[in-house]
Amino acid sequence: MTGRAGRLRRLLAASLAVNMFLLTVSAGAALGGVAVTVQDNYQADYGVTIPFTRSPRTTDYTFSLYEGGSAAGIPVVSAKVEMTAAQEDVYLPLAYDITGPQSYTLKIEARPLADRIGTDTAAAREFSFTTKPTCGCAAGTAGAFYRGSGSAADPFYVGSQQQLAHVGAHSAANIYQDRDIALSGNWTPIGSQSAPFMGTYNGGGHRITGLNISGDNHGGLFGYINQATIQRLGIETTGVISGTEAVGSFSGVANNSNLISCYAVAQVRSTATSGWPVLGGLIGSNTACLIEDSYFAGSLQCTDGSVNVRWSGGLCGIARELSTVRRTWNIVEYSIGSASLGPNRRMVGGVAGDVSSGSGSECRPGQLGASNNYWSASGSGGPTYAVANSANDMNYDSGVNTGCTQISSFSSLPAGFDPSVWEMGTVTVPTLSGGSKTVAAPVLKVFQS
Amino acid sequence: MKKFLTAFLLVTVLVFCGFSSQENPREYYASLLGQGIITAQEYEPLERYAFELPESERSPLDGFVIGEITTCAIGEQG
Repeated sequence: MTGRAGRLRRLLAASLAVNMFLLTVSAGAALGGVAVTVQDNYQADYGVTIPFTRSPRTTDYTFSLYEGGSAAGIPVVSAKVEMTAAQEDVYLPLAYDITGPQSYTLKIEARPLADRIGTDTAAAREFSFTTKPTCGCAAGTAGAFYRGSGSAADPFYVGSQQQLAHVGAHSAANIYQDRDIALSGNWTPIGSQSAPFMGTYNGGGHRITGLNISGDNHGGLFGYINQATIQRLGIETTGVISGTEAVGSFSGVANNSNLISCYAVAQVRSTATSGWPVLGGLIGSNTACLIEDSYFAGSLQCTDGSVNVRWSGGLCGIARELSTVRRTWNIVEYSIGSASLGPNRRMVGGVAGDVSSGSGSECRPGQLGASNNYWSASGSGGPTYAVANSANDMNYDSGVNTGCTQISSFSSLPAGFDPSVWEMGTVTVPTLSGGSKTVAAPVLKVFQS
Repeated sequence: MKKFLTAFLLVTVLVFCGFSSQENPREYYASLLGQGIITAQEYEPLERYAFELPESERSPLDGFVIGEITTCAIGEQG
């Protein structure tokens, strides 16, 4: 190469470098010793962190991430990296698979600086890696979480049946469901009396379908929750949610917990043949809980055997210790048999069966903090009141309707329903005969997008 | 747009003028050596090859190092 050509090349390179530098600075990209300019507007609100120690001879790099074990084809994401610090973490957005491990190859290309173009030459290296669980479980653990730390600000992400089943292994964590999940087979409820779920579960406006439960005492998506919050989650199933003690679509038993902006379209059934079964559309037995902006549409069935008492309610079989229920509705087809201890012990409420407080010999009258609740009942053995028993006197029906209204249908949003949360829509309600009926009803906007 | 093109051309002209005053590659690389941009060790082969190092004699920029790559949320990037 002649001296003139070399000078021309240096001149061109320097000119371009200066102009590119000005363009980059004008875009405001240089901050904190490393400026990352992602190409092609690729975006993700999660990704990878790469601890990077640069060559002392250049600050000019391109980082590219490819799926698989080599840098072949088109990268998923590519970014120009201008690194002035000697060592810094480089963050690249990357929408990797959150449901399991995924392999990538990082290719880093280094280019010479303008002044060193005659002494240095570009180089590239490749680094392969596989995403690892972020929940502390060993790689290969079934259902391990691959996104999030479980904190409130950075919850574990759930996107598959196996990951949903893994929630019980992190029972105090914050969970976010980032897509609809279709279940298959018989579901084992999350949490038990000895190890209840005590975290938060945010459904993100997504649904769980295909929920089928049999063979457990406390039947529901969750078996037992304590000081937990479940929100923005829908359950839609053509299967049956059943149990022998306390059964509800979301949880068999719930203590000091919240159910907010949730719904279930399901058939809930008690398979108890003796004892004291509890049956609710959303929650079986509930103590000091809040149910808000939620609904249940389906059937409640408790006809088996000869049981002492049949606690049943459109939302909860039992709601003790001043539980609060507001802005809810339910449309239920009932099939509730008689109770062996007497007709008034078949406690069926349009919203809750029994709200008396305490337990055992400590039972006392109680009440439900209720406002703007609407219920509709059909079938056999259904409710007369919104709450069947509030006086803890099983010898007579002490039903109350405070804060609850029986309805036959909805033509518009009912009183008290916030139009920023609810809108009128249609709901397909399963019937005990195996069919379904579609009705006009309020639906939650969070599930409509 | 007009202002941007004007600025672009101005920068290019300034850079061109700056380099026109350094037409001698010996002086150019001696200046880089003086500024500490290249080292004496790097200057020596330049001199040997009449200040036109063949590509094969240039130093590859592969002296960078990465640590363990981990996944993170957007609020946690380094």
